Amino acid sequence: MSGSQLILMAVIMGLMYWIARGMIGGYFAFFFVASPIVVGVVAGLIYGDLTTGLILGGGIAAAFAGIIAPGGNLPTDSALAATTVIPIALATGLTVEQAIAFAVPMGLVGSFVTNLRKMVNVIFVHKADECAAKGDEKGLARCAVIYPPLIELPLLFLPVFLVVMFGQDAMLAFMEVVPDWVMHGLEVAGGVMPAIGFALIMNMIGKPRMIPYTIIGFILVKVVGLNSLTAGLIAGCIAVLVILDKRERAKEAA
Amino acid sequence: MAESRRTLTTKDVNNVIARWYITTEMSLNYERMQSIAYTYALMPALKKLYPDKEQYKEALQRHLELFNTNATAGGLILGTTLAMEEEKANDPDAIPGSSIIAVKTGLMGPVAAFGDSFSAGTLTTLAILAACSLAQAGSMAGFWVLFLGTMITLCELILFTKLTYKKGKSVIKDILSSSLMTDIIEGANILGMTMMGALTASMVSLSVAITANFNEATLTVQDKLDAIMPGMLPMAVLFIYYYLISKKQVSVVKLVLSTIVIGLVCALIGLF
Repeated sequence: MSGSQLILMAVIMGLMYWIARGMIGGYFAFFFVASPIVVGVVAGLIYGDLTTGLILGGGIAAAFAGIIAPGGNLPTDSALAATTVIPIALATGLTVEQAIAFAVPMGLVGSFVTNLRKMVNVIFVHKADECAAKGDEKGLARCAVIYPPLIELPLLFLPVFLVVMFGQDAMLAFMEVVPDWVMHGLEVAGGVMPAIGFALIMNMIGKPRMIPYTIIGFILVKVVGLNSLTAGLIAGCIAVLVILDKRERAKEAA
Repeated sequence: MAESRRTLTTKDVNNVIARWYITTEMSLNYERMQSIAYTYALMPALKKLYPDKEQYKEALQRHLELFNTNATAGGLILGTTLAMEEEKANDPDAIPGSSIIAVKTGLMGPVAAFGDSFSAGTLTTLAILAACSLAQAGSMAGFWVLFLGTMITLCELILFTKLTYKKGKSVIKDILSSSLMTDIIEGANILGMTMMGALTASMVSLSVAITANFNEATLTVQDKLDAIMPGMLPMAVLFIYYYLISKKQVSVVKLVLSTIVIGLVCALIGLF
């Protein structure tokens, strides 16, 4: 990528990150715009290879899938990872596993940026207090929707813009000198990384007594050879049967 | 009372929902979290309910107190607050302002816990994971599944807000403790747990690279492992992570970093 295409890519990626983590548009921004899949689609369209963008986005999204933000604290930020790594991966031809491996450390940087934002926004709390005391609606509205995105523009837009603008050459130079085992090691790490997210979800939604369900799901796909959707249908049926049975027994007991 | 009862129209409630959904986290900050957004969302409704300027200011200040919850499940609180403010506007002595604050702060914890585990944890995560499998196969359906997942949580917000506004403040406790709700969550969790196994099988990859040569025969360790059970290693990795997270409370950051380090070391010695 070079010239106007690169500038366009850097600007759009920067804007997407600003919208995603400035949360401009609420959970639509937080879940949808921020998703590596959507970033991959947009980056792929700009680069002229939608399918590769989609595949890269899907891989990165999977690695971060289970990582939710309890209380709004992101432990690691897939949006920063996607907006910086996907354009570079498209331009330099990284594999999905390599892209995930680079995405993971970028995610850690992202969690730092999103926490910084919440510190900066404290300024507007006191302004909002004054506005409420005076009954100044316009001032209050500005504190809610105008000031925070404006002050976050340099914080969120600039880092992504700069990395996309100048990261491509750095990545190519890095790939030249890096030994094979390092790339392979990152691929191995990227390959198992989704399991962290899955384990996090298991910890959140399931009690240890539900582990057999996980093993059933694994066997259905790996050994029986079903696809995930079919396995999901079977899981849904099992869930319905178990709940109906539970209700039946509760009725008998009553 | 001579004057007629002040109430909110459907349009007013929709307006509040839209303002809340769009701005929830925009002014998020460490001191009061979502309070500015909450006040901003309620502003048009409060203005209508309190024509008296002093009462209006008081209401605005009331909602600037610390507030933080799950945005979409938060509809449960949004509707409850609207119902209470409406009651107070028509009979100022019925509810003291402090009890509206108390209800809000009392509910934000349980609602956040419910929302984070049910809507964010199960619903959206399942949508994200389905979208991932499709996207990794190069299908645009992944994009649309994700969009659908986002819209489902928006519907959740609208439904919860309207329900709690209509039924008043008592209904929220019934919802959080109803047997239907616990059954739905239990079912979603069974589905979720099964899917974690299914997705580990399709998305997590790890295999042993060691081979041994005995005269003419080449023995691959991975083949032997596959003969015992295919995909044993990814499965083991999942349960190791699960153990470390649930029993040892290891942070995600540490897990990610140690995974990279172990991956590099194993690649160097040629294990994987």
